[in-house]
Amino acid sequence: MEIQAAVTVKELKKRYKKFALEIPELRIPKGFATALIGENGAGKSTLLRILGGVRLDYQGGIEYFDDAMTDEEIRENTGYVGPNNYFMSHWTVDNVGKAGELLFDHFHRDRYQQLCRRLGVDMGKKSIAKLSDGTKMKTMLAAAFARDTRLLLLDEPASPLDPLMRDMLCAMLRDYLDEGDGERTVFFSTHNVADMENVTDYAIILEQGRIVEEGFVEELKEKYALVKGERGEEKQAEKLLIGCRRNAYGYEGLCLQSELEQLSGLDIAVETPTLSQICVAVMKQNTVLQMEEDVSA
Amino acid sequence: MGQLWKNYHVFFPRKWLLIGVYALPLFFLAGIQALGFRLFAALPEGRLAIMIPLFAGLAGTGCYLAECLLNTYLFLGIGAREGAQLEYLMTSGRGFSMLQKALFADALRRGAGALVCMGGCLSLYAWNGKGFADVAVCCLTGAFLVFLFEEASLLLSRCTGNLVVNLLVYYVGSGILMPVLMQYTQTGNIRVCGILFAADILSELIMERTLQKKGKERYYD
Repeated sequence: MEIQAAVTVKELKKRYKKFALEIPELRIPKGFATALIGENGAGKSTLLRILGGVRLDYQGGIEYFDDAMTDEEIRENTGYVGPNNYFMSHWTVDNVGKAGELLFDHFHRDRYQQLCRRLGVDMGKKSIAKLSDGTKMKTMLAAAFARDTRLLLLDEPASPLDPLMRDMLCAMLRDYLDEGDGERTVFFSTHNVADMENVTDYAIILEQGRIVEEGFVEELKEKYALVKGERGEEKQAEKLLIGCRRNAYGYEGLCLQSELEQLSGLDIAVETPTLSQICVAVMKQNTVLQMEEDVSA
Repeated sequence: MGQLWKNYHVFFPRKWLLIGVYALPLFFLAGIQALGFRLFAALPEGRLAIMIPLFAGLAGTGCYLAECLLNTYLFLGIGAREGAQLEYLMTSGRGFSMLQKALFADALRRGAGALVCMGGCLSLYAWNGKGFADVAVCCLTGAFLVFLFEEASLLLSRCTGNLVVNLLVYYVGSGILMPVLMQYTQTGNIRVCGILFAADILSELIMERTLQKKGKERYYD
């Protein structure tokens, strides 16, 4: 079955003085939740801001929803949430609702108020600037979910939230997708891979402005194997292992399933990796940072 | 027109602030008129002509400072590259036009406020023997001057989020505005009034264009 794309990116380039985001091709699958994972400064926020229409200074093409939509229609169908400079700081939570009604055709103020209550956001007179980071994020999420959208772009929504709220966020995202009947898509960046794994269908790993790995989570788990071995054999294994590291018992690292046979002579245990383990290993393989704990270092 | 004010009022998070903004010029008007009448009754004949420009200077400078401080609260740094806090507006196709409408409504309100404030002070000239046309020209000259100073200061305030720079500009601006107001509101000069009116229109256009350009530039490096 061919998966349709909600967003198709082609030859996207955005250059800064010391950094360039270069994505030859990217298809965000329609009807799924896609996680964008990468270390700080990898280009996640830049990509999300470009897709959200907040930055327009890029080269390349972006096609939304496979339809010939106008810019205004795309914005109407897309909800973007970013961590910085999102609302005017002197606005109150109630102001956000008023502004939402004027800014978007399908903004439901009653739904916004319900979501605020559900997420524990006080509708009082406090200005946004005086709210905690977590409450600010909840307000942003309430404003995004109060609209009828087909695509949600969320820049690190889980970071300022407590574990309970992260769980609620996962449930909200899952409900959003389920109610969309395959027409709604979520694209979010996160550092909290473990917390967000149960809502992640597709993962994209970004390093130094390039996509280094992507795929459906189940496919990635079939592609890689978590290899654990005892001390003394790591020298032989490290050539095939990605992100190999020592622990109290020996070593562990990720190996491509297709190359697993080459480790057959060693005393190893093979397990299915979690998405978090896959991400860390792939990021370690591609990072420019010096990883001191790495066996090869 | 209703949509214009609806857009503008979104930027006012507090109802008391909204009431204050509209009531402030009327408060000035009532206060200065009452004070003017008392002084008019108490002062020897001819002295009021000296007091009126002083009223106008104080009231006009007060109006200018109140508007500058209000702007610091509402629209400080909205045209600056960083920290403009406009992402929510940017995600909407109508965001930019909503902001433009709000800024236009703000200019209208400030203009009306300056006129009411200066009208309150300078209409006292009517009791001092000046004709209606001269009084009207004086009122307009004062209002245009206050508006022009507001425009110049607010343009800077909206293009930089630096509060210290802004406060410095407000202090210097008020220091210059007061003697200028006292000077130009003593005599009704239709030519000065016309030049100021043209300068106000020009300054509003510059403000509009600069913010539009700055606002859109924020998208680019």
